[in-house]
Amino acid sequence: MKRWVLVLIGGALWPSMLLAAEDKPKPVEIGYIESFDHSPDVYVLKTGEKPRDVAVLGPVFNGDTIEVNDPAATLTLRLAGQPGPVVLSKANEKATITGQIPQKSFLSGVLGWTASVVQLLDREQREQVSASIRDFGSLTGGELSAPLFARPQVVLAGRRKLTIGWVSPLAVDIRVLDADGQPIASGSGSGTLWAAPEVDWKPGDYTIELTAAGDTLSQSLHVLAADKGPALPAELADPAEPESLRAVAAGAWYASQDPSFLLEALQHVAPEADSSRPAKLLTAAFIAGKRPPQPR
Amino acid sequence: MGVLVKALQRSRARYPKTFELALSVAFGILIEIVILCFQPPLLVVRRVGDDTADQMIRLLEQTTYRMPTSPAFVFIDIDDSTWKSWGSQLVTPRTNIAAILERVARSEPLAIVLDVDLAYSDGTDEKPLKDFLAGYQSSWPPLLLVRSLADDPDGGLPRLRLTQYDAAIGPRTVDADLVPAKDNVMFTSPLFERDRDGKVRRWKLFAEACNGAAPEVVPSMHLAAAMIARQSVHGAPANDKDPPLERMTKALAAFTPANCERANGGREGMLDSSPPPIRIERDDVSKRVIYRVGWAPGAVGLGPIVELPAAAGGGQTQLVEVRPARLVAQGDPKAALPGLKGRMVVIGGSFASGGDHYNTPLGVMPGSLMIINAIEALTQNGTPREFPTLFRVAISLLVIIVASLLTLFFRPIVAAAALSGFLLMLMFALLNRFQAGAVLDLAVPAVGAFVHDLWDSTVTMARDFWRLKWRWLLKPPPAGDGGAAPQHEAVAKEDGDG
Repeated sequence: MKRWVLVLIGGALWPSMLLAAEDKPKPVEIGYIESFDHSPDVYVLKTGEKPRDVAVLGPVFNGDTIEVNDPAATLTLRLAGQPGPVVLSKANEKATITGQIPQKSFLSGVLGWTASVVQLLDREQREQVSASIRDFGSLTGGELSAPLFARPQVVLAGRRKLTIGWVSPLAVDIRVLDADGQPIASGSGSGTLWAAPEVDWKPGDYTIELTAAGDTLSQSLHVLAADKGPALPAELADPAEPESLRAVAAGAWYASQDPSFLLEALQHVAPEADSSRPAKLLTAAFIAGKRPPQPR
Repeated sequence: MGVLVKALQRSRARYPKTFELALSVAFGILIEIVILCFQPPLLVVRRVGDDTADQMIRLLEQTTYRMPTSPAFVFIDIDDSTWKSWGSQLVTPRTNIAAILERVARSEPLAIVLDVDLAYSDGTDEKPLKDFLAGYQSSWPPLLLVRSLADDPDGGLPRLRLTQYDAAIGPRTVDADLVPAKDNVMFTSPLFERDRDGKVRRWKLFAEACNGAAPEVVPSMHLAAAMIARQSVHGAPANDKDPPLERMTKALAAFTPANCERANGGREGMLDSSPPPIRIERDDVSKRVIYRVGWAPGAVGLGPIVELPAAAGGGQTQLVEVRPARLVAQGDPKAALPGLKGRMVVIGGSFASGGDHYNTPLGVMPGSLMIINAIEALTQNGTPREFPTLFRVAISLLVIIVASLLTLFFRPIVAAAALSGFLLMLMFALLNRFQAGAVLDLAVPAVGAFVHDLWDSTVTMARDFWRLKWRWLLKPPPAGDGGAAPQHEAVAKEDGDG
């Protein structure tokens, strides 16, 4: 009788046992191998009992084991839920890797959602404030604003003055630093324009710093070898045309090519701004970060 | 007519509350009809609709843990440390891009999406990338490149910004032999629509442009990638076994503008009939991106859990795995990368100086993640669609009746809060359908309720004005000084009418 009861219970439990076997959780990718400093065969990576190759960017699954067999070797992982890298060595013996992929249930999701709504509102407000620094239209007068330097700028190498502009009518301290942080040119400007003395600009990376009213605006400047820049259309080099007209056309052409050439464009029009109305208009436009459309 | 008025007056006298309710509902329905039939360009209607959809997208993102049928993505990210290690250059170095592309192409991904505009030169001869593209093998996965457009100042269609790589993948002559264009490399548009509040909520599935004097349709990056992903998930449609990019090109041909003067606009049609379909429609709903993944700088994985492709040996992963580009570029270019097999690979940049960040309903994210969201949504849901008309009408009626009941029994401030709570419950109830791409535009009923509330306040004010005459302009005295009396009087008068 007892045997029959056991058989019946076993029969009843069999489908659920099968189901449980099928429901064995699948391995979940939780990170990757960032680096290792010895030959790959020093490390043993296994998913379950299956060995896997150790390679940079190789995926790591929850429950994987890693063994480091050389006392001098290390292996660095990046894992979900870990803010920094995880470094393994022989001291960790056979390390079982676990990561935290955030679990989401409906209730916790709703709570998180409520929190995120508040966070998003807060973040949006902060974005609006920072965006206003670059926004010429909402300038309040006391803030330093230089839309021309909203993104990194490129100028061509050579011995030349460097003209820099900003839109706030403030006294501004300007510094141009080389890649080592050494000042190449500096000075103070009032109004909205300042020209550095002539410098032989060598190709390389520089930084422009504008400081006024407690604000400092910093942007990178790349000086490109003159023959590496975009080639000006041949007609702009025609000596038969007046110099000021060619300068204005060249400035407009550079500005139309790419926003990063706005500063280079300014170099062509700013010296003519006092004598040429088009040059004056373009100077103001370039300082405000505005560009003409590309010529067709 | 006179009989009708008398009957109405009698009903009002006998059943004042019911009469008010019926009047409110009738007025609400009238507003709905006006908004639906005449489609006034009310910013508030669109704004309310957007806010509701944004809330649902955020709720969905917070509550979705698993998406078994979604494709898996890898985002190869030119992050700040990568950008710095590459020399903080203005234009992403093309040599590094070539090295990354080569490794990814050899890793058997489902497709490669290169979200880097190649129209700008990095100041070198860019030979490695040109050679790589010219030698791109037909057995390698589809490669989608960015085609940027330059606006036409005269108001015509924008112009294609051709790159120096066009020649490498287009038809060309090699050793006096004509080599056809590569059919697994395609230029695509990464354009989306940005709303006035700065948020990107809608995609563009293609861009109309001009190449010289020839009008062209440029497919969007997300459409092309979704066509590939859909075919890998559902298989090719029974009536068309062509490769997905070819099917897309054929379907898009009907949308080619007649000339370079102006955009076609307004055309509708099917781009992919496999369920759930991708359709070009005029409404706003079909363009909405149902975002699933927000951005978290430094995170290894993003989004819900999806199944890994069987080709990769199975298992599970997060929807988007993020890998720094510097680790990809520094390896042997001929060596395949582990973990990319069968996944959609998107190469793009999150570095701050790139400026490729956009505000979305899930917060600020890099453009590449926006593209991943769009690919995923198109693959899973096709183009979003509205609920059936009958259902929409029923929901509208329900909202109107609830709004009317609330304003009948509660003070306006309480009624407004209660209505918000009701709309929230409605959102919860419809969350599953929203996940499947059915978007309920609550803008019209919500605006209807708002206008209805406004009408109620106006009627009350008019009655007060009629009763108090010029004294209405004066501030009512505090309740202790008999200020409450007129209000009671008014109520009594209304009741007295009965």
